Amino acid sequence: MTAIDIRDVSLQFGEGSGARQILTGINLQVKTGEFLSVIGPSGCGKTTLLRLIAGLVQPTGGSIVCDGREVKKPSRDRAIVFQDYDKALLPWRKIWSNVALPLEDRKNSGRDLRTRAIELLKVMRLESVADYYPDQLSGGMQQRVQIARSLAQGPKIWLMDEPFGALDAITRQQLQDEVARLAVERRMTVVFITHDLEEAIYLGDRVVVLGAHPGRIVEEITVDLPRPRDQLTTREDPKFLAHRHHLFGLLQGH
Amino acid sequence: MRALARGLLIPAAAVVCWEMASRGGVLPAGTFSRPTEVVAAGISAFADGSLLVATAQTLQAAFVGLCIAIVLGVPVGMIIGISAGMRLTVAPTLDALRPIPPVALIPLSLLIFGFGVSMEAAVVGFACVWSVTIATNAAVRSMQGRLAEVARALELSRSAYMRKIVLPAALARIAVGVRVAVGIALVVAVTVEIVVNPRGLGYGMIIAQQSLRPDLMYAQLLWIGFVGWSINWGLLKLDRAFLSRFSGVRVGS
Repeated sequence: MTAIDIRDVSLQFGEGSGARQILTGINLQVKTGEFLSVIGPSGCGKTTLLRLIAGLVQPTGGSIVCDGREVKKPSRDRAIVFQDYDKALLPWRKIWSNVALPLEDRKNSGRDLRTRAIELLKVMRLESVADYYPDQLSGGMQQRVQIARSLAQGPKIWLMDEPFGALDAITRQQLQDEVARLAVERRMTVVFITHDLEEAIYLGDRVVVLGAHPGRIVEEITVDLPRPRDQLTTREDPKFLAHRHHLFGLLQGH
Repeated sequence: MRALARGLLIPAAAVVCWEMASRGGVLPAGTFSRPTEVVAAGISAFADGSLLVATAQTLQAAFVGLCIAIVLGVPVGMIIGISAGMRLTVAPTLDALRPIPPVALIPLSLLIFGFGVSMEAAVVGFACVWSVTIATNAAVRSMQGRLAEVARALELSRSAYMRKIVLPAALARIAVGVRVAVGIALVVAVTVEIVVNPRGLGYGMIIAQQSLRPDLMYAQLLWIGFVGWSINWGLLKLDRAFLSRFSGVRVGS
């Protein structure tokens, strides 16, 4: 089953001589339940690719089909986790209430909402801070809150835009393992944007490398490392190192 | 305490000089009542209830006018802040109406409503609505784009987006506009009372002046100053207590 089918997608801003080609000739199929990492130098359009899949931006050429339907606008089936958790959370709402935001449309009573939000907070081990406000939490915890909120909308597709880019190394590793576990448990298809090569290999079933100016796919590798992965042994696996070697050279070339 | 003592130095010295100058005959008694007389007039106006009734009347008109300004200004400000089309349609009319001096509407308001709280509140409302509208419009337009994307990704309806995202995100800045409007409301209410409306503190002052009671006039003047200062102080406290969360910046912990 193909969850995301990207057919010859291109995007340009502006027209005529001032036009800027952001992405060109992107062909990419993501299987249901697959964890796809997308990596590339800054400015290669990897975030834009994610926004196209989300439906926040429309391509100027080609089409994107998710679950048999062409993407014309955002959908609750596709949850986005933004990098800037401090801007993506509502600072005036308590933690539980932030997580409850996607649940509110569906005729939930106040008490029920809180109960369901707390359940999701438990998944992210955040139940002890349910009544705090976002700015009372560390960056890593705020990002966990955003992840919990994205789970609240019950997505089939999980779109993550450099979610751990602003976090310290230890927090980042913990969250990597949680995201990998949740993706499997909840059978979500994941597109994970990162600029961290090791993170891309560690998490992905497949890694797509984008080149810049204009953004295009320059390489695609399948990561045949066993799951569940382990921060120590997986990263020392010769296959892991071989992938890293191969892709590192490729990224340097651009 | 030291700061308070230093701050009171000039007013205290002024009062002492004033009292001495009046007693020494330097200041004409018909224009400058002695501070002791002013205090006495103030106490008796308090005691017979007239000062409090007048205060209630002025505050009532200011409050009703302010409510009109908020009820009109916040939705209009939100709509023109969100929609460029509505901005193009509505903004020219607003820009044309805004330069009209509110007090120039006193005759018109009197014609429509007659004497009383309604005509006063209407003028106050007209004077205050601009700062509320402009502050709301600016607040909505300065809202950072990520929250709008969060709302789109969750497929929030337009009304849910306004209620759950835009209004709370703009609330702290709207409150600044309201605070400005409160100051304007009091000024305009007292002005309307001095000029034409036979009620409230402004009317009380003009009557005291015309019946050659400068002591009572001063007492009311000082009282109006105190009322204005208290309201501003109270609003600042309210702001800190309830709105720090909405500005996205926490004050203290």
